[in-house]
Amino acid sequence: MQSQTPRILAYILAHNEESAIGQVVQRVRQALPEATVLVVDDGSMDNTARAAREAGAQVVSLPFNLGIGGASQTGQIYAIAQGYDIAVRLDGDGQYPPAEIHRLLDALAPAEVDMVVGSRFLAPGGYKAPFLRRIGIRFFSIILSAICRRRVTDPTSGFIAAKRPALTHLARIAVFDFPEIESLVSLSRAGFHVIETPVSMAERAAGTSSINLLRSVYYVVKVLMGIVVGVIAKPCEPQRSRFGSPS
Amino acid sequence: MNTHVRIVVCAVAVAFGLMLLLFLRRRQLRPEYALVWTGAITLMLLLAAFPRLVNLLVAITGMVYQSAVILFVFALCALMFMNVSLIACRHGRRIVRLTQELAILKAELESLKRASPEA
Repeated sequence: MQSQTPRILAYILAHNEESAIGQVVQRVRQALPEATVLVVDDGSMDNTARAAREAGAQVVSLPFNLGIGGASQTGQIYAIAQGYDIAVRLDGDGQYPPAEIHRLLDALAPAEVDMVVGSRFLAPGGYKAPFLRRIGIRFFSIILSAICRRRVTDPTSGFIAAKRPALTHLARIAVFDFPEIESLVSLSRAGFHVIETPVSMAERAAGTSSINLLRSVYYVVKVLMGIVVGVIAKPCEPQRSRFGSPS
Repeated sequence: MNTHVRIVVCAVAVAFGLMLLLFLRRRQLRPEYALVWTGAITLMLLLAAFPRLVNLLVAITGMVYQSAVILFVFALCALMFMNVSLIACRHGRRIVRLTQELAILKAELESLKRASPEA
């Protein structure tokens, strides 16, 4: 941590979420008034960017859809470029409750912790995912727990808070479609200390999920390949850019 | 290799050569990426012009059967596709990074404009 009061960025990923994004931004601002709220508009075709601005967020609009990984990385690059100490990721559909951000930040407080993942399954009577998704999450939990040598209960959670060194690492690695699992593997291999903390999870406020049945199959195959690459890959090289330079 | 096959191989090589020239002329293909194609065309022309080279290749590699030749050609094609995949991935990573940085710079510029509208 570089100062007594860390600068916090809450970045929200949004793709065609004009009906939900305003409410999500306002809830984040209420829950975390000291943070800057950034909406990464991932090539939306609707008025997501305008709705976010009207709700008081700063907006980075990608000219076309990069997917969750590319959009998330944009938030991380922004956090590094603007000198934030901590960045919290939320989704524009309202699934990750802003009121739970403090749980992530509390868990991130110890100096040895680099990143905290909000787990839907650690809380008593936690989130009940649909059957097939539950099997998939369990499958990846077992694999990731073995690779990371710690218990991983929610490998697909995108509700994360990370300090600058972990953000710098995430900004360097090339993970595009589905970043959560591959990021955990990469961080673990690079020696970062990542922990989970229990959070509750809401239903989507509006819009539709980006993952349908066909994409689910693609997801499993692609993420498995990503895990293999993450395990065998050499450490990533620094980016020659003011945005991606090492801290 | 009979004359008919030699003519077909020559015709394919010439067709590839013309396509290569066309793409280079239109600047659709950069010279460094044309090297691998130039090599393939040269090899085809050499084999058609000097069939004994095929016999030499057979003696060196032991590929007597047609299936073995097909496997050899397939391996060459796979290598070329791998080369193309590497190039596509490198450009993909660069495009994503440029897109991200462009979007962030645009947001910073708009923020500056809002802060000082007269600028």
